[in-house]
Amino acid sequence: MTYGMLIDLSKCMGCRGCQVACKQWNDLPGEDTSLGADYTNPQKRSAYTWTTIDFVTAEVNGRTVATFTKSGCMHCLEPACESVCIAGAIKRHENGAVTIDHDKCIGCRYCQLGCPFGVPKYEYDKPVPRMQKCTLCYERISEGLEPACAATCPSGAILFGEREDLLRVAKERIAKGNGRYIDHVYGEHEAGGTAVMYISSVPLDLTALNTDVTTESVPGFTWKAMRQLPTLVGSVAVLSLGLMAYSRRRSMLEAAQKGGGAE
Amino acid sequence: MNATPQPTRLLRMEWWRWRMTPGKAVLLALFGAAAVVAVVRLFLGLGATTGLNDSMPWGLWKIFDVVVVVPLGATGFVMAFIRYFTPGGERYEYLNRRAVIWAAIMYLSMGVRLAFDIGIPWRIINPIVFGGNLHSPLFEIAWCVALYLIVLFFENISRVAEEQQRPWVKKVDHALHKILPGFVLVGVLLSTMHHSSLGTLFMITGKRMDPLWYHPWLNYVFLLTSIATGMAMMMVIEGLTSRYYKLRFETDLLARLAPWVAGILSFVLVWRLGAMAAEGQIGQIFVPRAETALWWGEILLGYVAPIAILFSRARFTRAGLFAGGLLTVLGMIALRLNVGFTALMEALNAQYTPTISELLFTVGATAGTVVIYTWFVETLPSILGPRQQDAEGMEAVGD
Repeated sequence: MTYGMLIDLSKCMGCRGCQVACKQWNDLPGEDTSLGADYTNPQKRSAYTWTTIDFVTAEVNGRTVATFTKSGCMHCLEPACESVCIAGAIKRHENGAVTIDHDKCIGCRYCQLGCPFGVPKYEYDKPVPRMQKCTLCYERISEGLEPACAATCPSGAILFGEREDLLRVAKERIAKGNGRYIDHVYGEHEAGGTAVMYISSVPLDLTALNTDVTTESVPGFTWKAMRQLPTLVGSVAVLSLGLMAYSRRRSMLEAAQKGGGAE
Repeated sequence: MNATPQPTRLLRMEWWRWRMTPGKAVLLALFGAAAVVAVVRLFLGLGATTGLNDSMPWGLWKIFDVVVVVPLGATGFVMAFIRYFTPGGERYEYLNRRAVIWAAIMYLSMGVRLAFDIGIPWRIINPIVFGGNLHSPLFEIAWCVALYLIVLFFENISRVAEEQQRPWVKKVDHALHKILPGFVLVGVLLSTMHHSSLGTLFMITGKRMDPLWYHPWLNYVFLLTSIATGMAMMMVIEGLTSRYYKLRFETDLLARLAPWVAGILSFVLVWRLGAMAAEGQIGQIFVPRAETALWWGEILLGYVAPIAILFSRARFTRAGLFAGGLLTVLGMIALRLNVGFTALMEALNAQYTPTISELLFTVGATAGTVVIYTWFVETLPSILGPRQQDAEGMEAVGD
């Protein structure tokens, strides 16, 4: 069974309670922060800030609209980070959480390159760094609790449960919303499907969600090349041995022609 | 011949033939500077020494020191293939000796440089020892490189054996020569795999990559340019080695390789343009952007120019071969840097400027490989060619 979260952006009021709860539960240190053009704070996620409320302010039909997007790991059903990890340190568990084993990670940082959402963050400031990201509160959900962010959300914008149920709830809300919602469950197909999904009442390109992301399963991008390696190696081996046999025979014939006939 | 070694031989270090010159001193100083950067990086971490950040996880130490340095060592598998598998390959014996020692140096250098790039250097061997992830192209590269280093050891060890007079060494060396084609074949297969996987690395970004460098089969583009580089780098190495050590430049042998280099480059160029056309992105080459200028620079200097030189009669001259080879190598480097920086930073929307210490490490480590090459060439003279007094013994090695 795959757990996940349904984040209803229309219910989020931007209180950042989830940010605080995440820091508290995961014992993450505070960072020096500053305000940017909008109210996102800290302005970027980091190895010490795994989830942020990303504020986007936009002009729609002459009205100023502010949207709040709870950003963080999407917990893909087929994670690119897991597929590229050299050490097998990144694992998607049966309950849907994608976590990093710090004892296995060597720090190649390929997961940062592979992740289509730019989620994993590295402790570049440390001599012995770790790769960090949201764990879907693996320990909590293993004990039957909700993730810290979902448990703390005062407006009920973060719904935790089984992915299938959440997908049904999302579609129900869209159907019964009388046009209140955009008819799109973000995460149903994005990156081949994710355990964290979003519904929104404002067009998705006005939120911090990445609307350019592929709907294909990302691990397939490299696997299509990797799976050809046996064929490639086999054909090169056959060609090499064939060429070698030809070369040997030719040099033998040449030697015989010269009258040496040594072989 | 007297088989008993002199007891004082080691102490007097008669085997130490390497001589310092001003040029080598400069390269060694750079090498030393790189070592200092490496030590500082160990104690202060990547953030303090490099321009790496969460938006750009792979910098100069990965893109140049691994993705470029490995194909620079492609001489090893390409020349060994030519030497042992093609008709008349025996003529390439001495070129192959230079090729395999250069390859061994490049691969070892890459391994050491990579150790300083990864977050926790002492874990570099862990994925191989404790198991890793078969789906990861990086894991595949790690295994191939580790195994290929063993092959390179056996391809090179005869140079050491040839310095020895002991009968049993000669016997073992002779036995090794019997099975060496097997090692060469394994080396060729391992190289086919990891040179293509170096391209596979970047395919994970899919079409996020800049359309000028997006290619549906980037792995084969990387493999083919590696093979061309293997021969082209031989022309560069031979040009520099023959000048420095005042040897004959093997114009005839290298001229035979030139059409192959030009042919592979032509095929890659057509395939790259064809793939862009198939994606409907061919118009991108006329869009006025900084990236477009980089693309044209890469294509004109790294493909069109060497193809023109190496197909023409210029390939029968030392200057033509050296220029064509150098341009091919530079074109390979440009492709790797463009894919790794220009196209990737576009895909990741990254901000990254390499720091001075980062540049110093890369330049110094590369300078170091050249010094190490001269050390091996001067210490093991049979890399350069048969020695007069040993001429008879050397002929037998030709097999």
